[in-house]
Amino acid sequence: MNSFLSWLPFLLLGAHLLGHLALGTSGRLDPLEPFSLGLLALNGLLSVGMARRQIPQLMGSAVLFLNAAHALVGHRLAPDSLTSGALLLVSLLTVYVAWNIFEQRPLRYGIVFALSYLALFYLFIVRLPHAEPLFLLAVMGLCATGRDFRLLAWFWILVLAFTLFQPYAWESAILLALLLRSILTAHAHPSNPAALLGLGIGLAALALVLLPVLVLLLSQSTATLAVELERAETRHAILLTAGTACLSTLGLALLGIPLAYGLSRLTFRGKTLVLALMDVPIIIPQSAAGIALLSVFSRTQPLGAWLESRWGVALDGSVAGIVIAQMFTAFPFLVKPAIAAFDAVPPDLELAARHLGANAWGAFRFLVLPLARRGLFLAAVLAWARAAGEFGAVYFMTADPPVAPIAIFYRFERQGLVETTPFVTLLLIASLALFFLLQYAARRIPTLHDWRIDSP
Amino acid sequence: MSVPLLEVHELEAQLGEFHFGPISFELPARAWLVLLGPSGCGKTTLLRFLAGVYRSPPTAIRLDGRPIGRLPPEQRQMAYVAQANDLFPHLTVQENIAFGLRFLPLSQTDRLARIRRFLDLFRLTHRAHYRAGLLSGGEGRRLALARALAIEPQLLLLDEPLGMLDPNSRRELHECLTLVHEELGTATIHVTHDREEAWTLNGLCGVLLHGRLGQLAPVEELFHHPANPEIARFLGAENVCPAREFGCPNDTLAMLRPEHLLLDSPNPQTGCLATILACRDRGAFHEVELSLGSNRRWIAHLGKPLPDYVVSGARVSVRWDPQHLHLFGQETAP
Amino acid sequence: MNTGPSSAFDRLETFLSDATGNIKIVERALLGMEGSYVELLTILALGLLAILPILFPPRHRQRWRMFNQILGVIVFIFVVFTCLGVFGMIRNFHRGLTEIGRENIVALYYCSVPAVILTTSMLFGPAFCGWICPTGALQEWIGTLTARWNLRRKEQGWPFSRLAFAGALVLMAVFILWMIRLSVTRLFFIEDASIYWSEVLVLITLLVTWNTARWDRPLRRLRWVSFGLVTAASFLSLRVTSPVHLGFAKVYDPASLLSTGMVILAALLIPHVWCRYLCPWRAAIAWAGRCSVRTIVHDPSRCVSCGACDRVCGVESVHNGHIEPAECHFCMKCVDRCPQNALTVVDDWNRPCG
Repeated sequence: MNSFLSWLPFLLLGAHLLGHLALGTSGRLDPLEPFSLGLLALNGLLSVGMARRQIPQLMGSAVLFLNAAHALVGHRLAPDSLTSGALLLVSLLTVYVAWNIFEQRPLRYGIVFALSYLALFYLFIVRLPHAEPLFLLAVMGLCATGRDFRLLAWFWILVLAFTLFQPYAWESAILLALLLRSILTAHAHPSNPAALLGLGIGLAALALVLLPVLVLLLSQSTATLAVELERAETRHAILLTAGTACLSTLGLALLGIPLAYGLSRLTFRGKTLVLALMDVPIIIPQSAAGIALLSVFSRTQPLGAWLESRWGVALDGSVAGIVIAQMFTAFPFLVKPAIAAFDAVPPDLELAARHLGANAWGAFRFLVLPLARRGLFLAAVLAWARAAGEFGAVYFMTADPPVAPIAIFYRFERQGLVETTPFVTLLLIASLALFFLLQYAARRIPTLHDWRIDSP
Repeated sequence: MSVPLLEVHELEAQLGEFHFGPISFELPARAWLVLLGPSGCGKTTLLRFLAGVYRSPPTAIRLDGRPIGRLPPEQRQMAYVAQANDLFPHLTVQENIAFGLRFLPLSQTDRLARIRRFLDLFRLTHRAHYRAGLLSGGEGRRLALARALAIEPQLLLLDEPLGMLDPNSRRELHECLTLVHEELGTATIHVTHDREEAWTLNGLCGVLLHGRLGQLAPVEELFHHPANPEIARFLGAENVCPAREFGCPNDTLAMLRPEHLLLDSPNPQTGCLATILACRDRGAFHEVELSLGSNRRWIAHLGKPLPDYVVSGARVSVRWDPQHLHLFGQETAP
Repeated sequence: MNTGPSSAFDRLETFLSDATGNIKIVERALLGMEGSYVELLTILALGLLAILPILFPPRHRQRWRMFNQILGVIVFIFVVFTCLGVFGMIRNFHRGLTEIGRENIVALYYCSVPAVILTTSMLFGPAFCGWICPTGALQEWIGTLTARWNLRRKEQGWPFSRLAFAGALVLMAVFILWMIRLSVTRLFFIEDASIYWSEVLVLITLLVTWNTARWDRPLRRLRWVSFGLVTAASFLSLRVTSPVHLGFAKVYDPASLLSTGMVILAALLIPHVWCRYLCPWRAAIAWAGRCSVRTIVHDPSRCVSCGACDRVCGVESVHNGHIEPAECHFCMKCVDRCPQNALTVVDDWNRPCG
């Protein structure tokens, strides 16, 4: 075996030389063409190196074979020396990496590497039209990542995103990266494959939800957005929405937080019914909510008429109407999380405060409120987001001046999809930025849980 | 005798399935009352009535002669330390103590002085700026006590203050409580199910059974002269049986504490014969389980070292000094 | 005369192509690449340049490295004119990735340089910085003029030097005067963003020469800021050009000339000033090379803490033999200089990632 190995380089070199001569004399190959000749010379050098034991036998033989095969077949098929050289270089790199992976890593890495190579070949050469040049780059990427499954997973995400999912390449790259990152870093003690599978499926579903949003976010250029921002109509809609949502959140907080405290601390007959009734704004269709509000607060109706004559407040068609409609739909979004926030503060702590001399109001002010702060803040953020996004109820109360969702609808009706998307993107960016900023701010507020560190 | 600090008169309530009371007792100033009782006997309920969690008829509870049965907790001038400490986790140790002072008419300097005094008293000065959630079990309990006493209540209510602590912290806290009680003299009601605590605290002691106060007496008297066999059994007097078996002519039940039973090598003249069923080492003494003929089991506590005739399965003769025998009231044997 | 072997080979070839058709696919693949000369040459050149460091014997490695850098400058200036400097590479990468599947030749055209740099960095370490990068080479060569002075300052722990601070002030003056002249002549081009970067460079030079010990390390984080800005700009389709754009531009760009001049002058005061504080590719390459197969390994049992490696390093990434991977340019000067051979270049295929 050893003697065979020591002869192998010379056998290969001989075969290369013979092939070169044979093809040269039969006119299929220019025997003096520098590229082929150079490869022949390189192989000669390699053989000498192997004979002097400076280069490992098997590895060197593989390179030698690749060189020879490339010089005799691949190079002749290639349109030019440049292509041929790039191909050879990448092939050599692949052989080098594959060799090391098979030799130094567990077998499964080698198998996956080989399968990945075939898959890349299929994808770039067979499946995708005119993607051949990119095959070289893809193989280089495979070489760089093949030795580790995690790296390889990242590589495949990139490849899939930018080939198969191309129209939504960046979007899918971001989503797949989120998915992979969650799955790669997910752990539990003891390990829980069912939960991991659930996470994977759930995140895939989440990705579908996020895709339209991302597409919208990434589709617009800055110039278009800048132009859009200059429009008075856009600015007015955004400012109106932000202002009314702030007002309605403030109103809801003033009414809803005391209500939530009461519901959290008291038991009474029909409490379940009250809790269920609070969901009414979620259950009924938005347009129905709008009609319902109108049938009470419209100027033609008794209550609306009284409000106008007694207080001079006309609700339908005015900013006050927008606020009323937003408060109506955002109501459960504030109260429900606020109840949960108060429920999280143990009544025993409140009782302890009472025993220390605080009256009910003092216990609420100095104990319950500081401890429920984060939950209440998050509830307000949620209510704000809901109020700012409300379309149906607001549309029936006050269609003009239009808040942002209504403005989007008008724009779409009059000018179509293409004209509307920059506006929507702008709104999306603004609201997402604000929402995440507020969420982040809320995370900074400590809760009861953060202080409860079990002593050892 | 002066006016009692606390008067409870016919306190009675129906709480779901549980009938509580009627309970009546009086507590003098500076007293330390340990209320013993098994789980579910109404100890915590009594404390909650006193502290104002539950309302009662106004005259059922009087503090310093003032009827307080209908007052909300914050107006009762009592401090209640619950079993779970209920520290405010978002505040530091110092702020926890300051919490109750906020509602008292105190100047800023007085307030600071009082915080410092109670940090000192309960040896928490080095932890003054720690978050309450970071304290160890013993420190947390001390903080709960300091916080409660800082408002200088007339009556302190403690729900198992030594429970759920390791033995060392328990001893430390007990010393701390004794010292503080000597210094402040706040009348205290201390509820527990652990009869050892009653001994070590050495004040008044009451036994609550089935929602009623069975007996209220100084601890020595309670343990040696329990009012009825049930109290005796709860207090750990295992040897309760008809007086006849102890050689008395009465038709009542009699009690003999385990440490008053003496064992001798078998000798039919000096007492009755018994078989040793088991012999357990309890650390300071040996607990010997004896079987007398009539399906009756007695427990004897013997000091160390154990005589060599006391082994499991051996027969011994049992004797006692009749003056240690406690006879219960006119009750017939079961 | 040689009809026998020829016809046999002929038959073999026919058999292969008829039987499997694989050759046809390869041929199609090869024909698909026809015409993409520049990009293929890039792969070839960069690949070779990145792989060459393995092949060189350690004896004359530093000489080979210089030769390699010269080749790198030539490749970048004369061949890879598509590569618009270090910022343009990021922008092009973004554009190229977006073009995949639509215009594959365009995609290859834009992706080849950054992709090859990143993949070779993942395998062979961040060798691009030390062996190929023309900006790095330029700074290194310029820096040799003041190398001795800088080495002395480094050995003394970078004390405040009036000369260096005066140099920074001169740099600032040159920048301001040059800017005034440019604004008078109004000779600005569209790609003026490089001026902002050289402005920052001038300020950094001033700050670092004022107090090197205080500002050197914290300011190195700016590389990520730089990377983030250029990436964000490419997503927002804004054009941002790097200071060393000059050599690679097809047209004369005075703004770029100014920026290149600033980098050259600043490199006299602080070695590798651009690589240290502002190069976005340094950030990306260091990130890709985090778990490269090839690493420099330090053997503490041989190390005598003589400090030769500390002295020789141009970016101060070595401290008593411990190499900071985020800063190392992989020039291997420390490996070659070590008298105890305590530092060795090692290929570890089982190196943990992440």
